[in-house]
Amino acid sequence: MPSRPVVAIVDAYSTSRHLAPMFNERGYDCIHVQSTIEQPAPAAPSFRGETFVANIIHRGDLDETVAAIREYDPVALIAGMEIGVELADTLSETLGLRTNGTAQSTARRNKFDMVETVKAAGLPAAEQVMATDWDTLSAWYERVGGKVVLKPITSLGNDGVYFCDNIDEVREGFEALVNSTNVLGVPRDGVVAQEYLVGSEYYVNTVSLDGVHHVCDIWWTERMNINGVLDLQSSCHLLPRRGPEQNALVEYALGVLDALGIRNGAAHTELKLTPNGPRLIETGARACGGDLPVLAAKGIGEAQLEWSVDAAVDPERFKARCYDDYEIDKHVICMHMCSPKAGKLVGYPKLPQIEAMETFHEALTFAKPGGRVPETTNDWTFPMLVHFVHEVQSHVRRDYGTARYLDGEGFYELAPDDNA
Amino acid sequence: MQQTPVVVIVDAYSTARHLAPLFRERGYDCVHVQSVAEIPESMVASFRPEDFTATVVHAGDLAGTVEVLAGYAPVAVVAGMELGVRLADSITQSMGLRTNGTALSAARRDKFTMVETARAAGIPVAGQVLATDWDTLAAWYREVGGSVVLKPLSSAGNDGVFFCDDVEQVRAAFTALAGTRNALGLIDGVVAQEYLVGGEFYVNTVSLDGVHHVCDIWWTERMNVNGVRDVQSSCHLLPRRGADQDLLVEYTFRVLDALGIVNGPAHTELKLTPAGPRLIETGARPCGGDLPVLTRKAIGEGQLEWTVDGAVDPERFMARCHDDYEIDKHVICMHMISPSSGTLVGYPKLAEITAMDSFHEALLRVAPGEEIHRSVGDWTMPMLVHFVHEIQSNVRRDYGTARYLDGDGFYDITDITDGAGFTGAELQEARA
Repeated sequence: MPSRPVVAIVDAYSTSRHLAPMFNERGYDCIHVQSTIEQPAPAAPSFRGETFVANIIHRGDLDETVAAIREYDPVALIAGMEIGVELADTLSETLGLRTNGTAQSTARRNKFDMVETVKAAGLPAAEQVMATDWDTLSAWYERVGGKVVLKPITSLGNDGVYFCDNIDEVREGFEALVNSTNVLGVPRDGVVAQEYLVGSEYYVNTVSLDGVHHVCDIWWTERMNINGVLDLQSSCHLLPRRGPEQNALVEYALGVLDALGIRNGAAHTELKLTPNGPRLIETGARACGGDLPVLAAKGIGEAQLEWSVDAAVDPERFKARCYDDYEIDKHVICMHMCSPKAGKLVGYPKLPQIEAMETFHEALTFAKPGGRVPETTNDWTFPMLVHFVHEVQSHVRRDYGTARYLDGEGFYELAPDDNA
Repeated sequence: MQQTPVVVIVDAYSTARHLAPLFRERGYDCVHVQSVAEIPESMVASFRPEDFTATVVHAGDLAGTVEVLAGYAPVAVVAGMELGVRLADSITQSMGLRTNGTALSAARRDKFTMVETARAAGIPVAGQVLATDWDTLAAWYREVGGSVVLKPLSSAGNDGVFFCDDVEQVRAAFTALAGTRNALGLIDGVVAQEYLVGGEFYVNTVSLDGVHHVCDIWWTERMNVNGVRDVQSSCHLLPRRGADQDLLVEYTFRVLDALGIVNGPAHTELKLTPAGPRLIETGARPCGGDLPVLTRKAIGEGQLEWTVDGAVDPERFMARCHDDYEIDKHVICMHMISPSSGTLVGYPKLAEITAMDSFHEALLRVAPGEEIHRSVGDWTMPMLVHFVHEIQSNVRRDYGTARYLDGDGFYDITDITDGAGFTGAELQEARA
């Protein structure tokens, strides 16, 4: 048994792979709780087993998992990513640790219940219906009309999202969704249809402690209509803590957290700012993905991961500082490169131009030369992310704009047989 | 017989071509004054002689020109563009009309004196030197160091602007500037300035008897492309109020006062540095690039409409001049940027842009079949695209998408003479 105090993390994949090293630094050992018998394929490569003193695999028997965790007597148990949220609720509640409880677990994991719960709390939210059969969906669409969004009841990223402008497209989206599994291989159990919300899309990332919320970072997310896809995310821009838009977004987002019973730990809330005010897209009771919290920390010193650690192991520090506004020391943009077509990638001939920019910080390359590059159509098919970081905002915006100009045709050199 | 009252416009080219029709709508005839014997070549195409009841060519003799104009008994004289500003000052002063006077004419036309005049008024401005010889410039640069900008004393657009990071680059730029003429055919010295760090903005105003109205404020995006720094790539109309706008407007009003701009339109370019706004330049005439026309689409009226009010309906101007404009529709003016020079065959992806929700208009400066230049400044943009929509996120999304489409693949160019860009067809050919 470890001699240091222990923190348990459920499903520490993707962005939350950074959590264990941060706890280690603060004098805590970490145990990993794996909510699935096999680690999900897209998440597995990000797992850092060496940062944990043990890995406890949850095989479906809660008592057995609880008993195994009790051996380590953890001081806190937190969820790493979305798939671990429900189990983390159950475990933290059972272990008598700080928890969001299980009473509202479904409202946090099921997007339909989430929006209905928010509405019941008196916050404005989108028109929607949950449908497992076509008749229910078509009846709802006849009433609502216009542009609507179809998505699975549970999903990750923008996996399985359909934008539909008429009844035929609604039917196509419905049929495609009910006959598929998600990126983690889980069959879909139905469809949520929602009115399409008009406006810019934002992220509000928070950490809560005993019902007190701290706003860690706020992002504007840019969208493009390319490769036949509507509103494909093309970049994220860290915003100052205060501003008319931020104030409206934060007030609404904190109301959502209260409605969903998120009293402890990280939450990632996606919102649209419509002409009628903010509207919820979804909230996840876990840290923001895509390594954005890591980038945010470069801009403001500490962000959602650092605050998650404080809330778990240093509540006094959290409470002493939770009403302080973050301040931007360096402006940051996370750019999603978007490939216009699929093929065998020879190289990125213009990448050196981006790397030479004043504000270039890092390029995270997913599609490597020699392998395949997919056509970018969703959050899982970006060939590369580029991070820009600089004290001078106009430099960051200039370099980002220049990189967007360089992206597209000419940025991806494909093998000749794919280029014909 | 009741005669139709007359307004005189000096050099009604480019954006100012829209002024005469606006005056005519309000019941005024317009007389055109041509400040130079020949209309500058780059302006000929934009001149609309049919909008004027007469054209008076200024042959250099102010008294003669004023005498001819007196025959029309004009109620106002307005400068259409930069070229005509000095003459408009002289004519209005001579004729006893509303004027900015000639005492500060030089401070309004010569960029060096402009910044020095603002400095003398206590306004923080950039360090600078005016040099007609290399020794003066070299001595100044030794003292200042770092990144500096060199430009001709009088210029239009970003014609002849050089960014220099070391003494070799400063020398090369000086040599180039000393041996050339600008797009309007004038040259009279080189101004070197410290490079100001920060976002670049436009504040467009119209003044009447020293009272200033803010017509529109723009953020101008920049890119580093084709080997050139800070090439303007788009303009975004901003709301009247905001932390940045409040700083910019307060500073701009001080500049207008310092430069003696008490009547008529002014276009002020500023950088918002970490230490606050800094003047780039002010022109006592409307903003170019048809931006005031785009403004009208966004907020109902723009600098041209306010210029008309200032000239012929001062009571209306005064009654409304402290009202803030409100954005009904969001607008972005996008500058397309060609990666290469050659002969343009076509814009294969233009149809994707014209199909966008917020697409409003594409102003083609280079048509298929014509020679296209690699874009390195305001005069080499092959196309402007205007996006207009009630929903800001739609405008931003469409602009971002268009920027993604711009670049390689947007221009089908043959006989490439310059530039790293290639058409898809040429890439295939090279690999075959």
